[in-house]
Amino acid sequence: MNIIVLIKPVPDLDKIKVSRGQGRVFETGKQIMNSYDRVALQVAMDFKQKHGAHVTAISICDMERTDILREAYAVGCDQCVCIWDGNFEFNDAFVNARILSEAIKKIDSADLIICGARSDTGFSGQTGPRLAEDLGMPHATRVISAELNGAILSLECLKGLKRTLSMPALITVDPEAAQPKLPNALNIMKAFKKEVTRWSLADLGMEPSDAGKDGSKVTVRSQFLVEQ
Amino acid sequence: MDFSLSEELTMLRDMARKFTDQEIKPQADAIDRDGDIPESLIKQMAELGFFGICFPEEYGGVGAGELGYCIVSEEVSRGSASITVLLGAHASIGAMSIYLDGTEEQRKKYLTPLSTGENIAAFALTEPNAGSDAAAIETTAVKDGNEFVINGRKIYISNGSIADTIIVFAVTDKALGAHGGVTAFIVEANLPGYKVVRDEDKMGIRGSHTSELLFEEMRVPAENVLGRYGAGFLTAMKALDRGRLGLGAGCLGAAKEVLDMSAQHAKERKQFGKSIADNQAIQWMLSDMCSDIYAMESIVYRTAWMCDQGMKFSRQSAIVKTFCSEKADEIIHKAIQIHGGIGYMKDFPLERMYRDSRINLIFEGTNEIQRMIIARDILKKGGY
Repeated sequence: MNIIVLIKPVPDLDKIKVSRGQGRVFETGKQIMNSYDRVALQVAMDFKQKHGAHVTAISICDMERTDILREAYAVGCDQCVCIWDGNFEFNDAFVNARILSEAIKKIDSADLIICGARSDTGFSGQTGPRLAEDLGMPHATRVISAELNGAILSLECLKGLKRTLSMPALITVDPEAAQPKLPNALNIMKAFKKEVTRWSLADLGMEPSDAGKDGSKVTVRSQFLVEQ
Repeated sequence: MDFSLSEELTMLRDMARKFTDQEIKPQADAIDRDGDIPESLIKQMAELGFFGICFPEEYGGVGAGELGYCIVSEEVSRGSASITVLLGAHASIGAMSIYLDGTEEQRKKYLTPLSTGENIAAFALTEPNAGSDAAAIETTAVKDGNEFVINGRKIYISNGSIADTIIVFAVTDKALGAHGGVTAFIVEANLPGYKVVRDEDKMGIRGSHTSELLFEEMRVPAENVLGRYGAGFLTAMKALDRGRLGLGAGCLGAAKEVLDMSAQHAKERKQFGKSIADNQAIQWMLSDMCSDIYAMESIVYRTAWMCDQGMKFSRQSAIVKTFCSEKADEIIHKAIQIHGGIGYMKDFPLERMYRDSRINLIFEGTNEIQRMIIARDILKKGGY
């Protein structure tokens, strides 16, 4: 079984600085893994341990600013793919889903795609379902429990909703789906010696205008801080 | 000069800190109260690799070097000094003796299960009449065919009652004294003649088992001689260089933890209509604590780096041990002062940490002995 887990970097909330005067949030230090994606990785690792699987982690991230793919190796992923290009800073969920869709088509062997239900920062929860639609896969969102019988996934989603999906399929998971385990020290040391596959837009057969502000459907007109 | 921590060690630190926050801190009071570290916690630490951080992967370890070990020791010390001592006695002096002077066979046979945490190690040097004067040990080992017969008594042995593998130092030729007359042995705890007499009832580090061990006609195979016959004292001194450094790292972690707690308390605690942090008396204490921590961190990391470079670091290790143990004691003292009444109460961790820190000025060679080591080294080799 080939499992793909999508992981996203987010600012470390303990290390952000808020400038009320400028109405902006400044990030300091490295970005960390989105908490929902940590759960997605653990769900994949549980499947790997129980059924055997090759797990690939994919992230749209700047590896200069985050070690989340190293962390993915440290918890037991078999392969890590980084997708990054110069104009990704302003990607929206529509663009990210398209990029991930091309990357997964390039890998060409996904039985199960697992994503966090949403990000700690944007909360849109759109990337997973958009990606599933792009790939023409059945999907379920906000999964809190997943069992595998052959090629059939038995799922429990938020509010007790039961679903079954035939693989290949995509699920997005909520924190209840698994308790992320810490990576062991030896795997941490090894994680930094492993090769991360790096792809640009061109490697995925996409044009610069497909990403960033030009490709996105969402336009950010202004940002402001909510008064507390 | 590059003082930055590698990406690997940064992630190792993050992992150890999360484990300390999630697993150790919630159990620290129970560990102190019950005088024991739960088996489940030991198993979790073994799975994470904590028992073999500094040893190479080929012997079941993690390969993170002495700096990696110091960082993990620092982080767990934020939660429980009893666990720091468990790991220190095990890895830093016990298993370390085998790594430093063991043969390839001894490393494979004994070090590997120690690195993985399958077995626990102890280091048995101190005796009723041989504390700081370690050369005065009275335990004897007499050769009899292919075996040595060991008789004697060891006291204050950390991990003694839970250890599977014990490094025992015994006199093999009294006439030759410390240098030439003492031999180190790898002893398995299931040997006939090996007996745990009792665990001590202590002021602090109460979760760590500090044991009295008795050897009566205990027969150890000659192949379990560790290092050169008669060179046991050298093995002990080399291992203790590492132990003292790791001890300093533990003091550093505790000091950082109480500074964080003190700063938070000083901001939150209101008296006379303002935070006590607004008072200069509190600010000066916080400032002095932080300055000392900066110095502690600098000498711990630098000495660990020296060790990993294969440089000699005996003098530096003694300095780290003395400076860090005394500064940590002072810093925790100040932290209690800043906290006032609540700092003195048992339902707050400072009371435990204050008791725990006291031993650091005594074990692994008292600070008075460390000052002698430093001074002798200066007089022999010159100052700076």
